[in-house]
Amino acid sequence: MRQLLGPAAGVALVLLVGHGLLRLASGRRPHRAFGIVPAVGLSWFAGVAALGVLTTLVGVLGLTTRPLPVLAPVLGLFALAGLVPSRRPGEHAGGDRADPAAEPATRRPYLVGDLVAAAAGLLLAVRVATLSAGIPASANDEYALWMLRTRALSQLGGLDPRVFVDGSAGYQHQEYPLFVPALFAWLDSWAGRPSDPAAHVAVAITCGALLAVAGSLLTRLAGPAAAAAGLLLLVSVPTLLATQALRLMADVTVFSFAFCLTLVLLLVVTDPHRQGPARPWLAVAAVLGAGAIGSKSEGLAFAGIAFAAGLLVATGRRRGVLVAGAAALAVNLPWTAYSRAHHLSSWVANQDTLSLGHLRSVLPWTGHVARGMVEHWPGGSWAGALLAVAALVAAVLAVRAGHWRPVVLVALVVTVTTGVLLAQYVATAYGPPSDPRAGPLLDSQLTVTVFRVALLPAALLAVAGPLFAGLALRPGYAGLTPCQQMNMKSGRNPYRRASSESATTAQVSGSAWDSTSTSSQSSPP
Amino acid sequence: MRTDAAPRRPAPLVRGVAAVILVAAAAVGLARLPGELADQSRTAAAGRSLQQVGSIPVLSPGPRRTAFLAYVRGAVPPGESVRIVQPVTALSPLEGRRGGRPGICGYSVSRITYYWLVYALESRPSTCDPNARWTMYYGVRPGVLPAGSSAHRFADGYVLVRR
Repeated sequence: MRQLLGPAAGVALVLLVGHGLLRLASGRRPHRAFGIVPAVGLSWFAGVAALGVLTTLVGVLGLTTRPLPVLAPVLGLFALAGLVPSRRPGEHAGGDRADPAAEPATRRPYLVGDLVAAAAGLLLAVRVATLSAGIPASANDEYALWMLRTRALSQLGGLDPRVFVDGSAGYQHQEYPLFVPALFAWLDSWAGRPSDPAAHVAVAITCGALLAVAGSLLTRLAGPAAAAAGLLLLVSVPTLLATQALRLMADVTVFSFAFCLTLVLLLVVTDPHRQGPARPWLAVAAVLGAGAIGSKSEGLAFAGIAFAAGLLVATGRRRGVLVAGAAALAVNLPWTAYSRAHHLSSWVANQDTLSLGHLRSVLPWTGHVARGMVEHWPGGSWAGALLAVAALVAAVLAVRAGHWRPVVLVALVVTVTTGVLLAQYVATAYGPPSDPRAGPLLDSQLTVTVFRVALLPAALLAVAGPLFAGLALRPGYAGLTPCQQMNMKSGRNPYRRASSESATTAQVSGSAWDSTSTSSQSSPP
Repeated sequence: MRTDAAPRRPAPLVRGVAAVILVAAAAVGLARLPGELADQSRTAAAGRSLQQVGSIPVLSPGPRRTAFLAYVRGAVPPGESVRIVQPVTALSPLEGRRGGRPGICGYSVSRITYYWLVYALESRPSTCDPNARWTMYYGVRPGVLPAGSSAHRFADGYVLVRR
């Protein structure tokens, strides 16, 4: 019975912890700030991030990574923080008084999209959990890396230096962050013994949370039709369901964090108001960024690129984006410090791979790597090419409708992450093309990893078509008066005059902030 | 009352092109999804059908060697280090260590097998220490055993030695 109820309790606590963290970070009740469906999905991601941060911290401090005596009580406090009633202005425990910044109860523009996203997420989570719960860890990276570290955390009870530091026994990727092993180890502890089924359930919930959050955010960005099409494309990205959702590795987790982070930043930059309640979404961005960084090494690149792109286009909100990015990085500093202190160097960026001589010798591989990435790109078939063309056409329409910011942000994230991945493959090539061992090793690496690590740019490129098409149907600057457009371009609130004249003036479709800002402005002080 | 211009309705051409893109995107998703779900079911069924010996999945080493691993896991207390000895192979170009004793603790051996052994032993970390209390010979006949040590011979070349 404990095998079943224990992990269920562990999962519930992660959700409650995430809910509490979101409430503390955003200053608002999550279901009111984001809507019920995104709040549930985001609570899972926030809970995973909080668990990862805390496990890493107690491990680095030399304490036990088992739930007692530190982890569970501290996380319990977070969970309680989300449940206690609050009397803070703007945050109401009861349902009788409306949160002035919340969606108006009489008009729920995201209801259909949220319901579709919730159903899709729930169905997928149940399916993946049902199919995968009986699969023992048996893939290379599962046993050589992720589950090995999981069992070290849960069975040895901490960052045992024989596994996490000592390089003599050949343990791999000791510099990899701990969020995913921390989550699996947490569920091991609740199950009372090593439990691959519990870890599979965690991956299944992550898949479900991804769909719930992505669907509801796409609805807010581009409408329910675009969200439905985007969800179909997301869930059908080749290999995502067929293999990766069944594996106990970090690829689905880092992808989910990074993909949702990009969508949240899209929400932030498409808000034309500049004075809308951005804090909750920026808090979410910080949490998702922290999760991406803490899940896998390339998460640092994914989050860094997303935040940098956000900084570039989020005029008027740059400080908020910067603070969110800095917070995401800061909570991962304990692991960075631990890695540095124990000389756990990255296999991608180290003094060997980054030496001028090595780079000069492997640079000729660039074309070969590019071709290999195209060959193994998730969804790189004729359908993928069709989607890319559709994304280009839709991007033109969206820009013409005034939505150049989301187009630029998506374009930057797709191209720069792809470039970084390409550079990673080139830099880690074994040797120059004249070395007979280098080619087969590189080809093997491309075959085994591209479909996993390129999920973020591949999925974003796939979803970009419906996203931009949906945006094109919702006027951005094109719907503003010339005066408002001028304010917009100069980084000021385009509705400064209008909002003082009339509450309903600020209602512009095409923004996730329509209802919130309108409602906020029309509410009595 | 609205005081500014209402949002402009997109031109019919824009609406038409956007609608085509949305429909095409949904069609691509719908066309791909059944294949992905079928592949998922097949992959999952194959994974679930893995035989297990003492909660250790039987992979390419086969059931007999897996039973040896289960025996070692039962004999060595959790938390104690195990020195793993395997047949020597050519040094892998992926080997990151700059030196080591061939055949010991994953150096110049089949790496894929080594990592599987390390994982299968679960909470018994691998060590290169020649004075380790436990040594597992996996496919290698032990030489002369140190004085005072005891060996459990599971099969030829599959021996657990305790000092």
